[in-house]
Amino acid sequence: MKEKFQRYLDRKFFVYFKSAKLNEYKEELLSGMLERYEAYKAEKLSDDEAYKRTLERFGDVAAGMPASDLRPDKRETVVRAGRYVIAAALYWMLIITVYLSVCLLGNYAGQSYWGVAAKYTFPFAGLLFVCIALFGGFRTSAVYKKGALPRLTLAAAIMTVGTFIYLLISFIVDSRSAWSVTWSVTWIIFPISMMIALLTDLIVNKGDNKAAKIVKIALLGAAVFIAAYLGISFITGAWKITWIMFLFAVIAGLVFGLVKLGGRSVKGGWQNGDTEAADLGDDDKEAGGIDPDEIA
Amino acid sequence: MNAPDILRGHTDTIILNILKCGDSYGYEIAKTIYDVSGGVFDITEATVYVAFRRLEQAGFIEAYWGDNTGGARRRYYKITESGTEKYVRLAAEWQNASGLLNKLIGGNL
Repeated sequence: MKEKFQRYLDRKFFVYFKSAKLNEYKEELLSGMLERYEAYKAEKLSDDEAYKRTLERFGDVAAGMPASDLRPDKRETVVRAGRYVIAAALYWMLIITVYLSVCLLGNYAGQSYWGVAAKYTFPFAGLLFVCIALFGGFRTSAVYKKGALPRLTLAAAIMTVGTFIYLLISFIVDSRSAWSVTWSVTWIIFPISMMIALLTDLIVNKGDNKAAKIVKIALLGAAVFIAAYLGISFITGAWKITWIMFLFAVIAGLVFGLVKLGGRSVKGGWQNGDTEAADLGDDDKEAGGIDPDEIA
Repeated sequence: MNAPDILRGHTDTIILNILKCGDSYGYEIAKTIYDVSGGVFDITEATVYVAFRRLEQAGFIEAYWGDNTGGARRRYYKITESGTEKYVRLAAEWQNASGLLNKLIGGNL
């Protein structure tokens, strides 16, 4: 268990310069976490429950350090950014190699696949790239705040599946019919995926009343947009243009989400003498303040 | 405002009082507060550590490392001379305030 708490603390402070003060603070936290964990175990709590409750009690561990002692670790940031760049470069080199191999083999066989292969390879490769960035990159991102990751991952997973379905259906229908507006009509899959993501969020985080309000508003907004999209499209027949409405809907949704949710995870600093700042309020506990990955 | 809310405003004074009775550390202080308050005030470690940093930087408490127990060293805190003075001042302020409140809320006006 010591290693598990140690890993948790390392993750929480990885962006900061490893000063002697920070290392001492981490050791102090580790000692306290182990004692609290043992106390919960003595109350016959399961390993997972004891671990989860311990982390809840310690809240935002970074809040216990003066801001002046939490300097960003530039080297760590550069190293991590470098890893991401190298990983991304390797990924795209692999995709381009596959693409070139297919096309060159086609050339060798007397067929030209350059255009067709590009059409099929790069959208999927791009999508996969976004997925990897979402699932991989955000896990250790400095911008990640407690409670944000599981929801983001869940939404990303559903939207990813939706995008795959969109591409697959569009490719299949497009290749088998002369319907010219296939790609525009199938856009409806995106708002539907978004609604499924919102509904799932509502069910999974049903205890989080604050977020539920926002999600319900978003659901209503999505329903209005879909109705407007279908109505306008059927009346005007301008399917090739009306899908653009969804792009505006996404932008509006993002702005709304940022404004409404942006301040939730930002809490007061210790310097203000605000001892409540570091406490997990009831809402935060209900919102799943602890990353399930860390509980697992 | 319920009892924990009122107590939360006096976290520093409570911690200084505990340390006045003897050196202690995060978990023990949280447990002491919980036990002494009869389970009414369940202060989290998050609050305790924030208070430690604040009191330490103000020079009211000092830290030192204890023995390695259960896999990690405990960091003990002891109250300093200025911390004791601060506690005496805060305790006197509280006595005055509680006396006034008793008159204003609890007594016959």
